[in-house]
Amino acid sequence: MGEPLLVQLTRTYPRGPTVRVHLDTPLLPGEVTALFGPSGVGKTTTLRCVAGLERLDAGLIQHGLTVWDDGRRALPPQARRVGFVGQDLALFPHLRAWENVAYGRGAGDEARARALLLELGLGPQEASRPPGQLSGGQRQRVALARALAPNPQVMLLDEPLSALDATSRDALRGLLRETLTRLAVPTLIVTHDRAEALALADRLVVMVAGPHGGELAQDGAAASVLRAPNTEAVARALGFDNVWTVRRDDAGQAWAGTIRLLGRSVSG
Amino acid sequence: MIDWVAIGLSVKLAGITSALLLALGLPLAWWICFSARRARRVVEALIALPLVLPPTVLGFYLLLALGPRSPVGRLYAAIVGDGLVFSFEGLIVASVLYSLPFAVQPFVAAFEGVNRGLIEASWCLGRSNLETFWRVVLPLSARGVLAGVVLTFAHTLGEFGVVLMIGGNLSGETRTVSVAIYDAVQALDYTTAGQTSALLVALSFVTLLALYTTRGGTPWASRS
Repeated sequence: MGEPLLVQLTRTYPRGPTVRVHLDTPLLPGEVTALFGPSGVGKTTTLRCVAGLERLDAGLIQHGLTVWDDGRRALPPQARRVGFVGQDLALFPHLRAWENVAYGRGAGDEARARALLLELGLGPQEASRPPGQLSGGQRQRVALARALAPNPQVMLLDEPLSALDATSRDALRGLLRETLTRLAVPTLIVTHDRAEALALADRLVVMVAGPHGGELAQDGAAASVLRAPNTEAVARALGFDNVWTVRRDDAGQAWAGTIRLLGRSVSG
Repeated sequence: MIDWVAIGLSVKLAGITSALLLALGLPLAWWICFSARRARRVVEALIALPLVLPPTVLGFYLLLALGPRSPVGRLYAAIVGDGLVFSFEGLIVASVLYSLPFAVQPFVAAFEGVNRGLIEASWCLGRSNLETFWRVVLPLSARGVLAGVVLTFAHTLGEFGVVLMIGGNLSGETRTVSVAIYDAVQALDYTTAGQTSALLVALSFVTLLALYTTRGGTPWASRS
């Protein structure tokens, strides 16, 4: 069973924006958290900080009792054992699919790599091909298998299904959810896709552009955040266009223009 | 008559220089590529100096630095019992310094051509810098590295100014093929000079042709 991951980070780019993501509660083992928001608010930066590819300026990333980065000292990526699947997948082009999977420290031998690929739907023939000879969906599966092979302590996925067509995306979405549930470690997924967030994530963290850069706007159970965004910015970030200005009259009745609102869950 | 001893000496010098620059240049190029320090710019400029300096200037400073009264020269004499200048070993030191940019610059270009995401993926998969270098960076930049080695070899083969300043003209010890050609011209032996020059042109051309044939493009362009 995995250990919880606390993510409270501030990352400032020289002469650039500041990314601020301070989650009140840690990401739990087996829990899939989606980082959701428009481009440029620091979702990928957050993932890279957790992976150790970028350093914090302030904050704390802690896995179980081990501090990964506190703004002063940081563990290198090699010591964190994260399964990282970036947007471009970064498969090694000179290695065959199974060699990619067996590459990681502690990933095991050829037989284990092939078995893992088979679990994810890639047969022996595909496993022997280099990434350049595989389709987008197959490459995605290889990248996922490669990240899973060394038994990671945390999974980080940056728009894992964005490059796929609708059919492949639907097929892989179920497989991904099943695999992550079985893995039982904290998982952080960056996504732009509301349907994907709802299908994959238990928890939704919405980031929006603040005055100084990207910042956390809402954090909660995926379904409840989608049902009740707490600000107009969150609603718009989630892709809701039917945002109305609501006023209350002296009797406490809520109105959207001339329409009287009946529900109780009016926010903003 | 062609001075085969000089040709043999030049090939030996070029081979040793290329091997040494492969060993020294790869870690240096890696450091230049991945160091965040500002010192890397200074180091890059220093490495490129032989490209613009007259060989006699470099040769003169090397003569002072390696001479019998210099700390390096005295240390070398204390260990080996002989001087560094006007020796084959002195030529190797001079050639390594003079050919440094011809090795390091293609190595840097080759490393910079490797997708940074692949290197980061290797780190996330638990592999150290050294493992990442051997298993990802080097295989993907092998053509650029080969280009650096071949350019170093070809450049060392035709060295003249630095060689003459440091090595002088001792047959079988420091007389390289370019010095032999110069000697022949001074002696008005144009036949020997012509034959040796033609041989050097052919050798250099074949070396570069082999490089371009295996690369199929500009030698220092990476393809990863």
